[in-house]
Amino acid sequence: MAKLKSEFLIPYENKWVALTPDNKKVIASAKDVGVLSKKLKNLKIKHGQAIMMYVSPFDANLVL
Amino acid sequence: MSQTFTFPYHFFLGTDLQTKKLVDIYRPAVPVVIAYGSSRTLPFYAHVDSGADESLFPASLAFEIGIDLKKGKKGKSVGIGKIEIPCYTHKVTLYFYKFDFQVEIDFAENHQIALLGRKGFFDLFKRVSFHEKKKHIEFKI
Repeated sequence: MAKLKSEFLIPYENKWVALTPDNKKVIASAKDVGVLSKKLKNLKIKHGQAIMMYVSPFDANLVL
Repeated sequence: MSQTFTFPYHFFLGTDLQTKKLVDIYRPAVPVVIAYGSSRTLPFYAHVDSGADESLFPASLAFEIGIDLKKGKKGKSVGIGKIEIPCYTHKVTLYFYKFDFQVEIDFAENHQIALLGRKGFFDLFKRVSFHEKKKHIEFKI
């Protein structure tokens, strides 16, 4: 079976993660985007070096 | 003069409801930044949600750029299941693609998914088109 593109997100369900700009690796994660931002500041991550996303629950469809 | 540009749907992890196996799910989410005064967030993915009347973001993003949440206009958002969540409206700068817009966004505590709704996002464009087969979203401004 082909590897899932999003497989690396498995440990991060219901968390905010910061991805590398190529969307292939997680730099940092946190339960809350504010905490994640502080972690990124401590890591001296600047604009263009990360993009944040919320990893929504895997077992539910999003009905927005 | 009008301009058209596209963004690919972004990948998420979900479950195939029939096989119960994990699968890639592609959703119309685009990278944006919000700013308040001289403070701005890092880029984050926000869902382009044609079913949302207005944009609704997590309150943590407001705190991050120095917004005093409860000084905003108080309102409430109602989602599927009729669950009401209190929210506060603030005017921010939204950076998207090559543009920046002054928009009003509702911020809510206990809400995690950033939603870009019709007022303050869709209405910035002449046309917003979802291409499910190609898995991309097209904006005409």
